[in-house]
Amino acid sequence: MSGNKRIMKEFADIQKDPPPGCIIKLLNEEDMNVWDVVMDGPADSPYTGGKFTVQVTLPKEYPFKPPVLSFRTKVYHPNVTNDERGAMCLGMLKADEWKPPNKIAEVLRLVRAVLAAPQPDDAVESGIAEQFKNDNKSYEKVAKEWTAKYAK
Amino acid sequence: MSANQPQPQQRDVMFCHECENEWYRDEHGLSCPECHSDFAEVIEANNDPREDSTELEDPDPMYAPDPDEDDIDDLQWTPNPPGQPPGMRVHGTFGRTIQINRDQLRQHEESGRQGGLLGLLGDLVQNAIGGLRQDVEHQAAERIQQQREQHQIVPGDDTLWLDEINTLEARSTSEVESPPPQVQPTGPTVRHITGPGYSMTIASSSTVTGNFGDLFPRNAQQPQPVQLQPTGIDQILHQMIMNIGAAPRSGRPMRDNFHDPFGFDDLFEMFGAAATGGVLGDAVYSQEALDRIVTQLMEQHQSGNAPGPASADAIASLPKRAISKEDLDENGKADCSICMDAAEIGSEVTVLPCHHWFHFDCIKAWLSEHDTCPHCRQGIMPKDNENANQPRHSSSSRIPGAYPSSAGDSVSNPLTVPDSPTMNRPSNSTQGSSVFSRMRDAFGGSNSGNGDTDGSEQPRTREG
Repeated sequence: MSGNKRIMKEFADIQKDPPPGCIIKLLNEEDMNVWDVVMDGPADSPYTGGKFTVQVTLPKEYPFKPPVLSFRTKVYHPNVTNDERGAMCLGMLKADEWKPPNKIAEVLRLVRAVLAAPQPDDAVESGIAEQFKNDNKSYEKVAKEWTAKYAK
Repeated sequence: MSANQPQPQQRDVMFCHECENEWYRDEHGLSCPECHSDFAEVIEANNDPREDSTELEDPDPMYAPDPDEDDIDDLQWTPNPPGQPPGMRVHGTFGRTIQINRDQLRQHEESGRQGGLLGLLGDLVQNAIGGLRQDVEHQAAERIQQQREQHQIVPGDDTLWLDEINTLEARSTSEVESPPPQVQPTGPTVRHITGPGYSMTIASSSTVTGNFGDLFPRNAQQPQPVQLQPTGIDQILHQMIMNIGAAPRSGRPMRDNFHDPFGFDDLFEMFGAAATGGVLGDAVYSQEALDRIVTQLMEQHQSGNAPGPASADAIASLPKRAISKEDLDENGKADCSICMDAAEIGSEVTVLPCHHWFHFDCIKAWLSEHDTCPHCRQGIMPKDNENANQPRHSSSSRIPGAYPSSAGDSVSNPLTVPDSPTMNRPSNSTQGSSVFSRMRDAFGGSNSGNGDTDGSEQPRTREG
């Protein structure tokens, strides 16, 4: 199956040249479709020093359907839902914006870029977005606290 | 008239049903002094036997049909004191209240003078303002109240009479219970009735009470009362908005606002700047509210923005070519960007109208779901229906500013980068950050070359 072949190829490529700050493994050695990513908190952000686990699930139809991302580590961020799913709202992962040439490595680079630079206008946590815009110091304080507490 | 004339209201008055005579009970007892009949009755305020008999029997002009009769709610007659010839002296007390709907009255007065659109507008404003004022005035403004009048009717000297009544009227007008500044008196109407043995004059003046701050057209034929005009355009707009059915803001009754000297703040607020979240009915008045609606629409149509599938015939008839040396990148490799397998020189690939190439199986699987190029989102289906099942021919050479096609459309385009160009798209996804950039991507991507987001290497094929 071409999808599986591509996944294996992508996985091999990403091991050779991983995105900065990312360690990628398979959650289960027999399942190529669920990747376990440990992402270092970007420098110069309140998340620095933390290690954030992101689970990447590749659908059967991959690459024709987008992968699904889920933060397994609690993170105080306007663009990450503060719930079980830990979903990050990325435009390129939406069904109607996904394009097969997109690669997981690019997705992970984008995730880390958004982690470093929140997009309050596209927030999924509007309360955090408001705080980010209006009271950035408080936002940074809580984000650092959460990083220290959850992202070890 | 003797000095010790008893006060009529303090004594029982008898009425004879036989001869209709009336007398004081304490002077003549229960039998009629005229015909000595026993068929007599005490006249009381709530039991006046004369009503029946007089209405049936007496064709006196005094009882002639009176259009206002229904409005006379307190009619009392006291007879002449005994000793005087019967009927020579009548003591009457009228109390009457006439209520006229002011709108009808005005309509009547103005019929023929005001009509058409202007009249309609006037009525609209009138109703809007009137409706609001009703809250405050409890509909007092809607009535014309004819004040009670009391007349002593004395036979004989009519001239003297009129003067007396006019004096009475003057007093009656000044005794209006409503607030003086809002009183509009009209001239007294004097009615004169004479009959055998009596004469009577009824003078009535009507007094309009209520509020004159409403808008209504001037009547140039008559003196005008001083009118209190609405003090600001905001009030008028306010009321017009109310009139077209906008819901009042919660928490605060509208009429408070009527007295608010800072009405403009409320006006803007009413238009939805803050209190109602920028939404008034189907209209929005703020960027945030618009964003919310756009986001909501996009979420409701999760795949609605994506184009539908390309037809199987169109996919099957896409041109094919062999990979040449020019397709290789700087590392000497060429990949199908869908399966990421290497495309060796000489292997056959399928070319889209935008010159991007893929393995046929790979691109077929994608196009069967979405009629977009995986790189640049340009569709392969023609825009018109002429060749619905044919792939769109490359039109790049016809577009001003397009990249020249060195060896014709069917050969390789050296500008096509087989590797994913996604990272060259700074406006993609959350990087673009605003709803509008996402919307632009979603809408613009499907019907144009999307050159502004996909790097400049793609020819623009926007159809004119």
